[in-house]
Amino acid sequence: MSADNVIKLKREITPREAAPPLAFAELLATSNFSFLRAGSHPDELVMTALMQGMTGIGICDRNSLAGIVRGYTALRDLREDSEFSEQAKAFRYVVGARLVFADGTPDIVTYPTDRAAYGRLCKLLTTGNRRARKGECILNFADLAAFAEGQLFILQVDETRLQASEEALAALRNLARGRVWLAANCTYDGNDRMRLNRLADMARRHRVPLIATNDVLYHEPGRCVLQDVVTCIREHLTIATAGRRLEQNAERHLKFPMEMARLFRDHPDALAQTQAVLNRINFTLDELKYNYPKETVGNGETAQQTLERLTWAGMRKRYADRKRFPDGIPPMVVDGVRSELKLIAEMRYAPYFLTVHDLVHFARYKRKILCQGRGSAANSMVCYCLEITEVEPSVGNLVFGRFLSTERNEPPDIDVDFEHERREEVMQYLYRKYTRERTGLTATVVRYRTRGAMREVAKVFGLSSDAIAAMNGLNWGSQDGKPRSQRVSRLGFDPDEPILSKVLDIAGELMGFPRHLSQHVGGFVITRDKLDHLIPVANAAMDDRTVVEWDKDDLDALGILKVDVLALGMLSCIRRAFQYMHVHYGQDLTLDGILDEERQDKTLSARVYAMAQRADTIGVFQIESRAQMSMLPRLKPAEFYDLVIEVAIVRPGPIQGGMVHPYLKRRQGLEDAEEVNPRLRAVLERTKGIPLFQEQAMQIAIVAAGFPPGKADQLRRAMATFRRSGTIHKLRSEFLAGMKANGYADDFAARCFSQIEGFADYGFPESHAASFALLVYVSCWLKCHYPDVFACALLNSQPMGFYAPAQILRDAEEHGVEIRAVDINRSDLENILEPGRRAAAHVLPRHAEMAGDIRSKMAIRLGLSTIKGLKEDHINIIVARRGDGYRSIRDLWLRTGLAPAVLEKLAEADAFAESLGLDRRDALWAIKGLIGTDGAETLSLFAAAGLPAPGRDEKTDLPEMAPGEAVIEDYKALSLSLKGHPVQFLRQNLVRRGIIAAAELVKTPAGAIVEVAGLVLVRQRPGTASGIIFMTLEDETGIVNIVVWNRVFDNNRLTVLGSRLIAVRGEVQREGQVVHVIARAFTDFTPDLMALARGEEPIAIGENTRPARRRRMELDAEARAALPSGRNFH
Amino acid sequence: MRLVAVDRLAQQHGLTSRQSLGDARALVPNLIAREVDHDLLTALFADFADWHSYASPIVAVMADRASYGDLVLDITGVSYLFGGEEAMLQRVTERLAQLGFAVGGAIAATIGAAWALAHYRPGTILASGEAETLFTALAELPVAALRLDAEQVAGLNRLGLKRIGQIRDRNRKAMTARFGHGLVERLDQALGHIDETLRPRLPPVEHFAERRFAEPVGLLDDVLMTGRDLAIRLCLQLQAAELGARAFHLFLYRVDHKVTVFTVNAARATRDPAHVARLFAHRAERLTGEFDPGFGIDMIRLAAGDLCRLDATQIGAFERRDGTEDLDHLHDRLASRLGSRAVLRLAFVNTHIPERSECLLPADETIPVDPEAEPDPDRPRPLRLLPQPELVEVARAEVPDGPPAGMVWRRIPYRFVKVSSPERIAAEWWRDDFLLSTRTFRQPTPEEIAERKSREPIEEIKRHPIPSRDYFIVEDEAGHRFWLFRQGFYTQATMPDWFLHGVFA
Repeated sequence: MSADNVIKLKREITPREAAPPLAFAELLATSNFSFLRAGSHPDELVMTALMQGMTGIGICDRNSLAGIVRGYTALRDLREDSEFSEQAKAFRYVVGARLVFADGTPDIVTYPTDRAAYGRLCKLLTTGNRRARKGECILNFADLAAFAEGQLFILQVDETRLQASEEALAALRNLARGRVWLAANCTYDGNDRMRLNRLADMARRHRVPLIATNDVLYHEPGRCVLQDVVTCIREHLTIATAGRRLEQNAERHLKFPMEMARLFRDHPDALAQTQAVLNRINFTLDELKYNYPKETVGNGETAQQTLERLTWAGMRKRYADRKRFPDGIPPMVVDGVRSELKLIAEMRYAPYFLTVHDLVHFARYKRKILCQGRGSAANSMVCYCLEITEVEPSVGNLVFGRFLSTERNEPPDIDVDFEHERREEVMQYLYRKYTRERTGLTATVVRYRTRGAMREVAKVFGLSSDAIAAMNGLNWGSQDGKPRSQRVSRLGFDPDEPILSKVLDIAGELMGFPRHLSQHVGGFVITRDKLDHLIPVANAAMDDRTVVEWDKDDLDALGILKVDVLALGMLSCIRRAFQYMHVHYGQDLTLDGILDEERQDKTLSARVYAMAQRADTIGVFQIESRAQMSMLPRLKPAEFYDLVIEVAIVRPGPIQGGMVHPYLKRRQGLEDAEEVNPRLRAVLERTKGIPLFQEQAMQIAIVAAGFPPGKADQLRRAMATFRRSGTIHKLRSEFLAGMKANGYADDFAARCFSQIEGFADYGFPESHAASFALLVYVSCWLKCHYPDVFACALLNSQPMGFYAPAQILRDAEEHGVEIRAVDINRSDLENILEPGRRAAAHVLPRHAEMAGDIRSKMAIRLGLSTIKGLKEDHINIIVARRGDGYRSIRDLWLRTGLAPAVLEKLAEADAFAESLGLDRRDALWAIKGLIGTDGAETLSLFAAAGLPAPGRDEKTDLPEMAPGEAVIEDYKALSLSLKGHPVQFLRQNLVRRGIIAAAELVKTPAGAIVEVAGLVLVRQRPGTASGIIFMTLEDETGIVNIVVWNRVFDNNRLTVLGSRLIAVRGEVQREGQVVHVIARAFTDFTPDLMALARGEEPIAIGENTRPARRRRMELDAEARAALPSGRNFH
Repeated sequence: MRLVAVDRLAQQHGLTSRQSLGDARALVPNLIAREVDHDLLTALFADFADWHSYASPIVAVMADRASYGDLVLDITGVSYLFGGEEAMLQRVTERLAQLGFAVGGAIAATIGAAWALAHYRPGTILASGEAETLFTALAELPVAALRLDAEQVAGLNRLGLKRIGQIRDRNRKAMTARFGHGLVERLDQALGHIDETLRPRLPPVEHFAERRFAEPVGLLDDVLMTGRDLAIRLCLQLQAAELGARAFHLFLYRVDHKVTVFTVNAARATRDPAHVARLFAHRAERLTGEFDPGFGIDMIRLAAGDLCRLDATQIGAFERRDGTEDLDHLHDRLASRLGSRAVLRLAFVNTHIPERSECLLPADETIPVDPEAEPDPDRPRPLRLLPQPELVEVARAEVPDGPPAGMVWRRIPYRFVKVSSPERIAAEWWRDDFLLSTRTFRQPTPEEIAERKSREPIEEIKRHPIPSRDYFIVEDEAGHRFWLFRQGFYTQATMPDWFLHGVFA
């Protein structure tokens, strides 16, 4: 055979080749939203179909519409993109679903022809979802009857059950005459010709047309690899044993129209039918837009009129203060509001603002729940006037316009934070007001991330669970991205070994694949139409909750109203603090009131800022982390806007973009802002020419790189939604070219771009930062003046923040607040405030300058809930039956009826010492003897007789506990001790070794080599700090900050991660008041601590005999059980 | 998952038992961890116990703390055989140590004391059984040495009672009330106030038969003859219990305390004494110096292993003989005579690739059958597959994936009159040698390996997506049907080859 016989090349057709007028559209494309059944993202399918010259594509996932919006946005972006916009505008994207039945009916693909039919499809899927458990959908053929109107059906014959398929076809045709097609595809199984003829014959007999398809599972043939792997994951197989359960060949990709024409050369009409189907579908997702609820409009006004009325009224209230605004409302504000209202009217967003307004007012005025709005649209005068936000937008430069740009038809975004303990009330209100039929939770798409993808793929390749765990252990600290091969090799794996390298590659490709749908924590969809006619609704994990199939990006893309009802622990904390202030100090505080004081009394607010400048911010909202604390003395916040910057600057975005140091230099006046053109200067002026906020980054794209706003937003989305598509590289070069063309330096442009990259996931918009800054100020204020109230409120709102209760208490103590131990007769469930001493008189010298500001005079009594493992129900019984106090353990037992095991927990926490005078061991002895010593004395008998309980418990002759051991026991039961610090019992030995205390470190000059020791509180490896580990140690005198470089960490991994009590030798480094030790060597002191606490001699470190090793191990295990392991942050 | 045991090296790296595996891995990334196989360990210790029957007639595995780990030997009156207690202890522990186990041992008058010392003062030999002596030896040991529950130990420790010495003289009633009867009982047992009985392990093998000889025997024939007798007795036992066995062990106890074991396996569970005896006879033919009676054998024991249920079978009227049983017996006999690896049989493999769809397995091995491995009737396969696909020359073939009009195979031309649609079979991309090979399988050269390593696998697959073959069933004028395939696709650069892979009847 000669080469000139080769006429057509199957796989090498380039998209540019002049295609003959072959009209074909693939209508059976399954995306990876049919979880683990297909190998391509919806956007990949759409893009490839377009490039191949198809006239359209239909995506149909299994009983789901979850993926359809992704395809829609992909096409929308392509239409905006100049290169393909012509093709894209003519390209049809139709949405449907593959109905998979529970009763044995073969799969039927359905496409709704109009909005009403689409609604019926949603309803059908909802019905199926609501019948089933979460994540499943049960449909029967009988369900079709009520829903068939306006649908086009494509039936797919089940080859193994021809008879049933034919019956289904007949039934379907009776149901929807003229709207049924029979699908035919070539599978290359050796019987294609025969099968096509048989199907054509069947179609003829039932008088339905045959339609050509390739039953697509992936967009290009190479994806069959991933397809095989996801099949294995789904079926729990390994690739080596899956055998014929995998597809025989890689044919189920999108094929060029010409190739389809060749395959169907004997049935040309089947190809033409794809156009017939397309032509009959009039529905597009555009029709779903602006489905806003109408309720908020009353009394005959339009939504816009109501909004305007409320806004003007709100404005008059906000600016009523004659002292601050002697000339009435500033004209600038009026103008701003006017133009915003105009924009809102134009975009028809009024119902959205009204909905949020309603929600906030319900919470704040009807239920007295603290709440506050944030998010992009919150940065508007209208929101301020409506009391959705508390921060006056004039502090910043309004960039409201960007978020409501007329070009992007996406709705504004407002998140509202509520007290985390009371958010449920607000959610119930939403359900009540808008009814369950029109309210649902938004979904979140749970995707494969590095670890999950690695684990699943490695399993498919039959790697042992050890190896999988080891490989996943690599990614300590990094969430995404392929594990670096050097790390792999360090584990003793050869990254070039074929299997391993396949696993790594395929895992990389699987990353970002949707895995299942879950519910968003607080995202609500509210619609005008019935929800189940708009989106399929499914059962959520929680009873009585329903969740829709789309996530917030999907809803955004379609402009459907959603409100994020979020929970914020700090709001609960502040609410509590306000309550304590009312009860114990007779003061009624509000967020607004504290903010007013900031604005009006600069001398008072200066004191609060002074505290922040000293980085005395343990427990304060947002600015309490190591990184924040080391920034404070450098940034020296002195006014509100500084806090806004402080909140925004210590974020991965600005750090990754290298924006922090230039900003600090410029702020300290060491460097001038570079000359830029006036438009860009306007954008960057407030931040000294350095972009720190998300919107600034976007504005640079618009102003400096000349992006249209739509494209800037596309850039943002391209980076937020997994960095897999090639578009990001294209946008990057366009961005750099754009900035260059506008005369910016290359490195400035590159820096800006890398910052936008960082912002994609971790940036703060300015309004967001401002809302947070408000809480920062309020929590600073409380901590500054009432450390007792603040600490107590903070402890009762745990878990939250960066520090464990032990550190919060210790900090309060250093500020003069007395802390009282847990006691059976004096403690409540929560921590409470008791009358105490004047705190200002007992402030540690370190905080001496605070003495004038501290107004506390209460003491904190630890609550019984501090005791680990004690149930709330039991505590409530103890408190409720306490009366005038329990007189003995037996009394307690008889009155409460609690099991001795519960009482033991109290004894272990030493809760009998203060009021009953029994130490831990005495109490335990007594409790253990409750049952059995006097057998006749049963509980119910005595309780019924109401006999007086026996008197005091006897002292015992048990060995007394060493003071150090008591402290350790405290840690075991409470995670803290008021009797002392574990390290103090080691101090003598430490001094002998030349180890210095934290307090001495302050006096040590920079560059000195010192050794310090302490409990490990925190190990932190920020993703941005190129692998550096920050450790925080605590000894009895204070806190030491350790920096561990990567190389040092790798050599001392064991000790760094394993020690509870560690000694670190290293070099002192100073940055203002913040002192770090740069670690060089480590010693694990954990077992020694235990020995010394007991008053035993520690085992010499060099001693390596068997009993010594054994003893060391025992002590180590005991210490580990008692002491906190240190929190690990990534 | 938590660590349950760590070796010395792991201890030196700071790992401890009860630590979570995740933590341990963070500490020692290249940690080698194996899941505990409790069944295996229990079985292993059962074996030890039996093995130690050479040293003492009464051997027990103590299951107080775990179902394995503690061997107890009653050495009353036997230690002189080993040259005294010290020598005996040394000999017993050394033999275990030589096997790579960490061993601690002690000798004392009570089980409790011996246990405590073996665990906390290994090597101690406490000759006297006086309660005071025992107490002095134990007083300083932690309370855990009394074989207490973890809960009891924790409770005592919490009260500051950490050493055995601290608890003896306390009020027994108060202690019992708080820590249960077990505490006082363990103390009394250790100090010899109350007796503790051993439950010897033998006879633990549920089904065995043995014969002791008054005069030691030494001839192989005697051994085999005894084996046959024992087989009859054992099989009767098995029948009564409705069991069958797949492994049979013949233990030969020599007078000099050594045990030799011969094992034969059967492909399916059996209790046919003749078959078992025959297997041993065949096994005996393969002996190469393994049989060494030394000074003679004074006991022979035949034990059944790998037991499984085998109901009584009806023989006669309705018996279904499909030959599988005979085939299995043949496999057993051939394998016991020729060695297990020398007899192979064919099995189906679940794969699309024709030449890999069968494999050879040892005949006496039962393998889990993949129910989906049977060939698919809808995909006709030729009765005869050529050992190696053979290159053929084809006349015109329709591009890109049409069948040829004829071929020349072994210099004879054929003209096709009927052809099927193509059946496309893609290579198994996950295999290292995933390129479908039509040449002899050979080891790739080092250069090739290096080259393969430098490629990104996914990229390579994408470049020319999975190599595949298109198979055609063709029929020539004379009615011969062939199985023909084209390797790869026609492209501008390549002309794919055609191969004949099989012929239909």
